[in-house]
Amino acid sequence: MSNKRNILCAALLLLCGVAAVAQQKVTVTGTVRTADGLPAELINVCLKNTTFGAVTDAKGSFSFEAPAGDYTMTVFSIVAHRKEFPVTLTAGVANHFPDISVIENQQQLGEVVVTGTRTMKRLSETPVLTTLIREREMREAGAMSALESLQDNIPGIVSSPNAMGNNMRIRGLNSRYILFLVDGERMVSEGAGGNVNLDQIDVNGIRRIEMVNGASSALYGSNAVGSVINIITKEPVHKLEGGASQSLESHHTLRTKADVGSALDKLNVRADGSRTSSDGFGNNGGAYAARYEDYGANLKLNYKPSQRADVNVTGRYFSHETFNPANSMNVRHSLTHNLTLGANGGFASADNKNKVRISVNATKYFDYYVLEKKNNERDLRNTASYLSARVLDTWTPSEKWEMVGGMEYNHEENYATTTLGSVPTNKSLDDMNGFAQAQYKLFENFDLVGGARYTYNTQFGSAFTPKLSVMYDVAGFKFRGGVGSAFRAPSIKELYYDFDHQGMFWVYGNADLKAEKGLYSSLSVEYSAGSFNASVAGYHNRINNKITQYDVINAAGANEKYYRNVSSTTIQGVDAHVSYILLRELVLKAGYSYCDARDNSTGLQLESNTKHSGTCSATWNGAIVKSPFSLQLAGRLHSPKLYQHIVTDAAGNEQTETEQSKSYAIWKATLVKPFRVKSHTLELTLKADNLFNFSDTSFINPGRQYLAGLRYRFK
Amino acid sequence: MKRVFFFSMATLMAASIFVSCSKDDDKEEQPGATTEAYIDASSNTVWHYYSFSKDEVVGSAEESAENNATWAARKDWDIAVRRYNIRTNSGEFTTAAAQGGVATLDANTTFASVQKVPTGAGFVTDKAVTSSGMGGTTTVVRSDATVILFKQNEDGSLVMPPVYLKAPVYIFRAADGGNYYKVQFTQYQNDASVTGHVKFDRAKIPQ
Repeated sequence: MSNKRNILCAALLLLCGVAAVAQQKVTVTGTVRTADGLPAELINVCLKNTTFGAVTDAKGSFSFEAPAGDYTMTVFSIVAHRKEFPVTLTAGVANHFPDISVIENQQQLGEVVVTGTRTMKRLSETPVLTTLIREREMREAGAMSALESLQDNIPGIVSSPNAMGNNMRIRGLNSRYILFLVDGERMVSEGAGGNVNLDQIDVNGIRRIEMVNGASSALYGSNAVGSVINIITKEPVHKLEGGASQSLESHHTLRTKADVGSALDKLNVRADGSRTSSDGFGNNGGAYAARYEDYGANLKLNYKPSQRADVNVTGRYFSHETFNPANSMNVRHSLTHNLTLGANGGFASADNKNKVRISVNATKYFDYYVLEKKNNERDLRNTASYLSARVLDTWTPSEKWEMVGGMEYNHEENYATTTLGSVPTNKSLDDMNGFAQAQYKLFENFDLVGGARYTYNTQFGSAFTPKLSVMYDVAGFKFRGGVGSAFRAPSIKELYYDFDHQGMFWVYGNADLKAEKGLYSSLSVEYSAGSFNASVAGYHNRINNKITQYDVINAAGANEKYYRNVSSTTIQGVDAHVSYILLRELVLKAGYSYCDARDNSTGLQLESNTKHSGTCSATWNGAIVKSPFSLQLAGRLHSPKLYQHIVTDAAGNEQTETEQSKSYAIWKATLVKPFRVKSHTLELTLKADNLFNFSDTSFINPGRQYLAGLRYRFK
Repeated sequence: MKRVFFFSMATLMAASIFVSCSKDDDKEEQPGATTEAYIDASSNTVWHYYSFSKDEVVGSAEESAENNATWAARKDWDIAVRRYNIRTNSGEFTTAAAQGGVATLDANTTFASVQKVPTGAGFVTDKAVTSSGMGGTTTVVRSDATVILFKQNEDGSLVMPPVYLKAPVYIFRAADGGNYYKVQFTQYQNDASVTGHVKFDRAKIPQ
């Protein structure tokens, strides 16, 4: 079959070659976009019945040479409906097709993901099972934050937001075991639980969110124990584009955003700014969240001096101020802000087989008290700094091999006025890393990926974390299997805490702590046929050397807290996803997760684990008199959150005491109606969240909430 | 004779004054003037013993069995403050039969509106309270009254970082058992936000 095709191609080539003798060659360039105006990558663009053509890059751009003449241009891929149109290529003028629009298939399998292998891969072809949340899905769900979108799509995410961040748990593991990335770069976590505030990423600037379950330290280092969540931000695609949006939600939650972007031949720039304020809720009882005000800004600049080189500069600023309720006696409130700056440059060899990228990223986080009775003077309490530098090389010597290798240096520093000693104290950690990964296509439908990382950390010493993944593809079924290891370095606080809590209790770090180690294995099967896709994955994750806080009662009868590597955890479960598109208009999706997350020493479930959880949604992408809209009903469900403790009864026997929440059922309905006039779009979003007013003492939520939003975009 | 007359006049006058005084009492005694008191109770271990009649801290002592015994035998203080904890010289604390105690008024009652001890106000005395938290399990003999209330989540856990809500208006009974003072705590953190710098408005009220 393949031979026949080759002969046919050769024959065509010959024919074209003969024809080309008489014709002058011209350069054909252009950009392919999705119906949403986003760049469509890995799309084949070719001239029908010839061998002239190219595949679009990450920006949707393509470039190839062909003889002048009349042709039919064909644009196709497994993700898009085939499109054909006549073109005339003329010598001496620019044969540029700046705006080829393709309609995507609704299934996501052709989408490009990068997190699993650190190289561009089709979702259906990546050997590492990846969950993908697309921009369009976020819009159809009326998602106002990355967290909301994760909750909509990943079963079993539990979040109890507080002043310290999102306080998120997935499968019984808290934020310390989840690595959050933005465009592949680590988000710096602060706060006691290693929390990050996902609101710092403007949801309008997110192109997609990728999530990879399980140990991924081979590629990403510390913290990639439970899962890796990678937020991929947008790049501009038009000469001038931009927009502004405003939404008002219950509790006076007002979000105002604006963005502007420009994609020129060699320069791409995108900038956005946002302000969010909310009254919070529960000042007079019930679930409580503080009043807050946030400001954020992002800048993304890309310069491409040639087809082989590019330079990128990124910047991000976010400030988060939380206020006390009016009836409180507090005279100070909290203000945090953080600044992230990054720069990277890439260079590709002439044959495009070898690509090297050097990147440097730095984040500084500031944590203040604002003294309300001292003219809002700021009292700096903590800072956290993070610097990461990396050299990454991607080498594709043949169609069968793809290698990724790199060196990475990380520096982390915390400054604290009270928690690292009675006087202001600085503590730092450094690590050096070498990592490599090779992907080998053993047969046409069998892929093998092996990789490993060696880390030397100035405090705990070394860690070696290998990973192996395989994928076998047969008759619409994809079987994936993997074994991976991970580590979590002890945090600066766990190592160096020296905190006297006003003489009530003391917390001491332990400089001898070792890294926690995770070993993750999984097996999955995915089936796709037409508009149907389903996957089932089973996993087992064991985390050893877990760092645990323990109490010691000192001579004065007071409580001192210390850390040690003592416990271990076993998490095992099954994840299942199914999606189906009915009559092209109705998209049905459901996810289910079973998770048993145990502390091995006690046999108890990890705090607030939920054994059964699910998400589901039905989206109707309809049209009234050719005017499109989307209407979605989505639900998040899970079995009770478990809180288990060992208690000693009157007879001195130890017993397990289980407290649990209600079963959760949270539904939302969203209507999105765009109005388009030429290159202008006005989009109305109406949303009712927590439709049936679910409440539970463990659920920090004010009940049913309504949102109305307007977004204007131009291109 | 003159002297006898003088004495009888004096007695009469005294009697008439006394009578007029009683007449004033019948007309209802008014609350005393409101004054503000301040106690630096920022130490986590030291109790500051305060007298309403003297309007001053009469002494301070670390929490210890020995110190507590000393102060339990004294009746010259009415309330003690340690950070947000309060003692009222009564109940399980006193060994001198002091008659302190506290009545907690309805959350909606304002300080200004309290003119006298409401009929049927229940006075609660000190008792041993065992609490467990980050500091471990501790038992302290103290009052139910507190300088501030901590805002709680629905599940009963404390909101973090702590939110200090205004405590209700309290009526404290002095150690002598016969004098009453209304109190509204107005400050827990000083301007530099150091906790335990307690300020309160106080005024004597009739029974």
